[in-house]
Amino acid sequence: MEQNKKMGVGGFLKSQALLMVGIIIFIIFGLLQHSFFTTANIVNIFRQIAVIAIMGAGMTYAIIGGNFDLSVGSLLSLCGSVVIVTTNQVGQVGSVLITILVGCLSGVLCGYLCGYLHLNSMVATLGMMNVLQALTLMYTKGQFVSLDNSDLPIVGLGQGNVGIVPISVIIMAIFCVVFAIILKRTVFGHHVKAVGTNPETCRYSGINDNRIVMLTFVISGFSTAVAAILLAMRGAGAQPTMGLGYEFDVITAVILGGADLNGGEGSIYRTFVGALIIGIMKTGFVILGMSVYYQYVAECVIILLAVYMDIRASRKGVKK
Amino acid sequence: MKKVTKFLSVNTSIPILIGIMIIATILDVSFMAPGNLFNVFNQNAIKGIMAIGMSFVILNGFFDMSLCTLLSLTAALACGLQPKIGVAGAVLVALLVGLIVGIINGLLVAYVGINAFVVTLALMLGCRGFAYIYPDEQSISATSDAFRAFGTGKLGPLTYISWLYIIGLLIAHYVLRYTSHGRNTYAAGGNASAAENAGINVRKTIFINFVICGVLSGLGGILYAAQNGASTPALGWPDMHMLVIAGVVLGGSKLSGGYGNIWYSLIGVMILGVVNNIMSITNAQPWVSTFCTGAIMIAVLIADKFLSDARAKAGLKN
Repeated sequence: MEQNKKMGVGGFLKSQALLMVGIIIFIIFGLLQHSFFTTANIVNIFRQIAVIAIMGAGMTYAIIGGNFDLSVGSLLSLCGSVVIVTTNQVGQVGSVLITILVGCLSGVLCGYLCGYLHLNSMVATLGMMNVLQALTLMYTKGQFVSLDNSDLPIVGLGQGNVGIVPISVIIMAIFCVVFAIILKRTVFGHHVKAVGTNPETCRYSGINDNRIVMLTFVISGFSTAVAAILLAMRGAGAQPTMGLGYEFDVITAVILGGADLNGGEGSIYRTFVGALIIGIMKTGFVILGMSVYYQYVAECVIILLAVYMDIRASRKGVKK
Repeated sequence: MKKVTKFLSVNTSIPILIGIMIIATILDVSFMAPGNLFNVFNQNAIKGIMAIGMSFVILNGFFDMSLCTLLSLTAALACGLQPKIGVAGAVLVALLVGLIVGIINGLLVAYVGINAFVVTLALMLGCRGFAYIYPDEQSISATSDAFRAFGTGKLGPLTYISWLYIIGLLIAHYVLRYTSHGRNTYAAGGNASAAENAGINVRKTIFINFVICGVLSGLGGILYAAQNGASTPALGWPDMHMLVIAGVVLGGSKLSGGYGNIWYSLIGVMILGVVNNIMSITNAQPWVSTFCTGAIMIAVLIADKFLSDARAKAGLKN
């Protein structure tokens, strides 16, 4: 436990540094364009990142467990289409349940391939990405799908507010807190970290490492399904390609959060801060009226700087 | 006969490719027409050229994700600069950009020590930005006739690009097999610290491999521009690098490094190529083709796993 506390303090300081980077970027945009500091804009930033932060929370589990999940972008498209079409067909409660079931099933399949068959997670989930994209195209026939009745309460998940806080932001907050508690305070969370660090040792000490890896993928699929519901409800419709490239945004958020890509290390809070930085930049470049593609160049520089600083900090730590 | 069985059980991807080709022939006999087989090769030559570069990086135990947008950028440069500085100049500048991106990747991975996934993902985003900013988010058509003629011209049944691919394969085979850099790559990929202790300059090896991959990805973009006669900013986005990596891995090279050879990348790229080809021959809907590509990636990984497990049981060493 002693060591655990130390890790906690170190991790907290690191995450503070990342938060500082976020605040500095925020202030720079604010100085360039004063409307950036308005409450409406800040609320907007949080609404923007809800999807990435929720998916990032799930992806953090997969990455801590030592695997990548590249299928989440396509799964987002599939679940978005499913929730819209099934709301039209079977109603709201049924559609949410079905969508979450679809997300979890995809997670089970990815988890079986990577956990039980020990396939390389990058290529296996890339295969799943293709399969899910194909299923989306088949399911929607390549068409945009929209809600027949956009007055349903479920639409509030994407568009509604409580006071000035969007409901999607509240869901994001609950999601991140619950996932962080599971990761930090439960046996399962510790098992995930242990399996990510060394699966062999875990097997010898009686942890079912195959099952743990599979569960991390199920969590990733589940959170993607939730994110898809929010994203689809925000526009009350879904494009079959709406999730294209999302996996890279999500992985970028996790990387900015300083998770160890070899597994074993990472935190939901820091992933959230990583998502926040992406959100600030996305909104910032739009508000400045610059091409959205400058954002990619900025992201490139910020990722490299953040990771470089991280490495320097840990090297200094070793020297001391 | 014993030799043949041993050869096939080591190179598990060859029976898989043959199996897929047999299925393709059953689906449509015209697949086996020589013209169509050459067609498959021609269509996938550019992907193969990029897979050569990727093989070097993968044998070294890393992978390069920046490929997909780097090729969009070099394609845009090769087309956009033609009216200003001529074809040769434009191609040179585009190759230079590939070289620079390769150098940045190599420096950051080998000498600064940042995780290769992070570095190449960051460069992928950066290149994507420039690939859209440089041409103002527009497509550019190539003005030079010679440039387009090179992209589509044929010598015998194969295109010029395919001949370039064959030459590239032979050179890569020579480098990996008979030069010290090639042997160092295997050693560093198999066990980096053992290689370091044996006196191999591991950092330099990694650096050179990333530079090779950068240049060949850049070349891939130029060749796409020549073949299509134009460039679009979304050319390789979002998954060209994954298809190339998948090609190398499906062939049988280990993603963890140290095991594989250049011919595996040829077989892997052709597995994906045959699947695409049979889909277009049979006029399948686009989603069927995407589905089969994905399903076959997973199936080949599973098949390879069981075949190599059997190989391990039979006592054959890698």
